[in-house]
Amino acid sequence: MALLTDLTDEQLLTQALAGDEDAFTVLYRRRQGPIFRFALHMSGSSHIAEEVTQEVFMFLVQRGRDFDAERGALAAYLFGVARNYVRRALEKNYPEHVLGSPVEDEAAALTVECDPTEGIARRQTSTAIWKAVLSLPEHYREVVVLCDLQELSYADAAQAAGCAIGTIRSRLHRAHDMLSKKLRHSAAVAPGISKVAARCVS
Amino acid sequence: MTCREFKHSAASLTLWELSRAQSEDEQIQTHAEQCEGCSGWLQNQRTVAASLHALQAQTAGMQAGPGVERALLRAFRQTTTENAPPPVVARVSAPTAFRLSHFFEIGAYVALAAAIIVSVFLGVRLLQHSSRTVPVQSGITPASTRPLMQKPAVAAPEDSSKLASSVTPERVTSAVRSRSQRSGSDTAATAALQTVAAEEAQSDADSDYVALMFCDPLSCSSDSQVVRMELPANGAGQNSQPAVADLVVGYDGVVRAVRIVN
Repeated sequence: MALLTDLTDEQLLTQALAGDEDAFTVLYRRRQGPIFRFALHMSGSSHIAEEVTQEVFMFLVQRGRDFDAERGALAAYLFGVARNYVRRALEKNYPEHVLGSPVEDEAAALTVECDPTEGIARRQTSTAIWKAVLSLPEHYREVVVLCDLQELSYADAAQAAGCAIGTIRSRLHRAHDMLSKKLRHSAAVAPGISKVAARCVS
Repeated sequence: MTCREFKHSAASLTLWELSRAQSEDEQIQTHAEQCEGCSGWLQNQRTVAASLHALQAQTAGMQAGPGVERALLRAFRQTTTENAPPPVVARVSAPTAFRLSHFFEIGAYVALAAAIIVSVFLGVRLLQHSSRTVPVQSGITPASTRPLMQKPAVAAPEDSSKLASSVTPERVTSAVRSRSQRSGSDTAATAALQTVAAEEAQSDADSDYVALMFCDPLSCSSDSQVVRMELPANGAGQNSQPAVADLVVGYDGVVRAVRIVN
């Protein structure tokens, strides 16, 4: 197992497709977190995120031979697959999971209590930020999640989203402007958002 | 640096690069200090970055539950087992056995279908054959000829064959004529005899006739007539009474069946 952790994603995939269960386990543990969080940020539901994560790796087991390392990194390939599964899941469950109470529940569960006195304000902040992200149109939301939250490079994000790098840049620029407006509106409603966010960062 | 150049340069930086208090790009920083609009825009970008950073930090530890890994490993084992090459013996023998069983299965179906077709064909042929014989029998005893029938006397088989061979059209004509003359004088006696004889003769009339030719449906299904005729007695050692026979004559004048009455 110690040797397997030194291998690249592509090498692990090759071994996993040859039937090496340990290689598959290492690959899964390395990549499941980002895939899960991508799906979580895109859908706002941990249930959908788990479902998508499972489907992405099932896809990798069944059709991993279709992956071409010359066309990009395995991580970006997995994000691309996850993106498609998230879309399908949102088409099925959109009214139930997005912008509904589950988002607030997830935000409440994720809130890090830096200061107990600020618990309520922080919860409001988390909910407001997440709602702002989730309220973005899908193609803007995915570039924000990929580039800002998952910190993918523009090239990898372009591979995952299946578009040009310039498109990613312009969408990201537009998405930031939209987010800024939404957060300003939220700040007007709940004035502590910017302050709390800044404190959490620091 | 103009505001347009500022936006263009800022767009090439990531949100995290922009959010740093001291931007690496000094020109951007300098312009933001001088331009109030661009400074506000930069401030908004930093707020967005801080918010997203907060969200990112909060969700950093999130990952799929252990149930997902277990389910995936189970599926992985199943998939690798399914994709594993089968044993060599199975690879050689299984397809052959399958092919053989498949062959026999198809053969059985073909044999069954052939048996059904043959039985249907034979059934049809049997029905056709029986339908050919029925018109001859019905033509033997038409309603118009029944009064002429009499209960047949016991006829020796050897005599019937001889009589049948001696039937000629001339004799048929004379027999009809003599029969009409005789019927004029014995009307009362004949009528009583005919009434009783017709009922009894109807039951076994069919069985007494002997077919003289093979009938095809076109000719034998048409109307026929029964003609009673007297056949000349065979002189040698026999009594002088002539033999009486019923002949079934078709519309074409050909005798189709014969019955020895007396």
